[in-house]
Amino acid sequence: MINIKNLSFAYDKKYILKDVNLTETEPVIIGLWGRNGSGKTTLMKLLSGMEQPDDGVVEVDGVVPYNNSEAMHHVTFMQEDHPYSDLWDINDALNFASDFNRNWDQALADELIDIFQLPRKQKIRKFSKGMKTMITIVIGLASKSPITIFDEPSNGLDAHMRKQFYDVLLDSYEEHPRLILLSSHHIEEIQPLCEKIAIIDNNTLMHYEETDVFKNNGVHLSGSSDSVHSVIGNMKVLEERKLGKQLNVMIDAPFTADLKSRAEQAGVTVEKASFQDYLVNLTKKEAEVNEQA
Amino acid sequence: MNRLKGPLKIVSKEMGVTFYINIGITIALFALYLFLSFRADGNEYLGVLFGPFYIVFLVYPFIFFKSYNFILALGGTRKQFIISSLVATLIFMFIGTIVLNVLHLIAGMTFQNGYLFHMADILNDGNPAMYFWIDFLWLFILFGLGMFAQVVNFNLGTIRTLSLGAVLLLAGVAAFYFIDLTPLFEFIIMDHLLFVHLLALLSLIMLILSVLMMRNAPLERGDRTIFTRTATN
Repeated sequence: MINIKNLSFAYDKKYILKDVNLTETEPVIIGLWGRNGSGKTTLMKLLSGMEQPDDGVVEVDGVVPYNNSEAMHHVTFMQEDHPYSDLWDINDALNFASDFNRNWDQALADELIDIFQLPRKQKIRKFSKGMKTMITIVIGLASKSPITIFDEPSNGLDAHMRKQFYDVLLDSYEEHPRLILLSSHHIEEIQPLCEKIAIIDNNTLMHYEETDVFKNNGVHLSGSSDSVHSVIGNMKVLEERKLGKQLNVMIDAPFTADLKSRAEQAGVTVEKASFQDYLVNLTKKEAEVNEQA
Repeated sequence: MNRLKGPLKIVSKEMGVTFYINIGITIALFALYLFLSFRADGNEYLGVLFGPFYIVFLVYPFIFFKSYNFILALGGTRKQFIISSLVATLIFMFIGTIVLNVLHLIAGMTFQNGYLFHMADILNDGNPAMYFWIDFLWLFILFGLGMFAQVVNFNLGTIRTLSLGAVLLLAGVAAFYFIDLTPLFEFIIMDHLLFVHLLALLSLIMLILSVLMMRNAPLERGDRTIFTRTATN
């Protein structure tokens, strides 16, 4: 469904993405995570055909998306601040979007408009940030595009609306499986929805794994310096903080019963690191290694 | 055609509001001239009807260019944007020509005194079809000029476009002062029909250049790089 090979893209003499490789053949929900400026949005623009790669191959659903009018039926990219004309109301936006998507589901669009309680006759320019996000979600889901991409889809939504979005996303996916790419800073929130996580850092795709692989990794250890070192052995340390004789570390290892028991025996406090903290430290560490190299 | 349906609807929506307002202004202008014709003397010159339409077609590309982002954001391509823009403009151009000339014909029948100037009056050709054709050509010429200016502006950005404009202006002023332009002015008056057609050809060339520049246009205004640069990490 997605085939990216040796993809590079530069802007203003600087590589935004370099040597990106990613292949996915099955419908799946993927979480895309990376720090600010890591190249997430550029990757999504390349996948949707908005930008042309400088080097390498990008194929979505078997078609090269750049300047290819056939691609509009294969990939839908809903941007964080998706552009809408000042003249459009919801009916206009849905009407135009339906012309760009062969699989357009008007019944689903109408249902979602009712769920989100969006006013059909009001101009979109008068919508709040949250309402604009909702109409963007409606178009993205109703497109039923084989590859559907959302950039920061929950921005501006309150907790209730976020939950509604996640529910309708899963319902729609269950009914019509497709490849959905969700880019978000709130990785903790979207992680339960995602079967796989892609991490962009240092201008390339650093990791693309099952969510469970990341979910189990990342452990906080704290205790006296000697006892902590005795537990971590050769394990990769992602973060280290010293407070007097006390040492706090985060290690890149799975949170297993064995590790827990060894830590407890050594008098070291052990707890699972949050998903977000783990990813932040993982990418920070990799960036340091790359800089040194 | 199916792949153009969405882009064409988007561009038409952006152009439509201006177009209908413009028809309203032109009809109001016509009503004013009709009123003035009752107070005018003999064959007095009253004014022109084509002004609003000519101005709007010159600036239309600056109005509908917003739809570039809307079309790309919904999955359309640059080619779809440029083709649908040209098709929508031709349709509005055709309707505009009809509106202008029907009003001009009505003016001939209803005005008590005075007359409205039409660009085809320069030709001294009474054929009504020529009146339609000349208006159509002028709308086409002005649109081509506006489109080329906007496409250059979009690709190169305001600073580079203004710099280019300044160079062209200097060249024009220099030509005016240092070259004898009398033969050109004579040609414009004596062979006006040929002159208008040459301008239309120039406009067509500018439109073709616009299409070529937009085929791989940047996403954001002014992001076009003229020379290939070597990227670094």
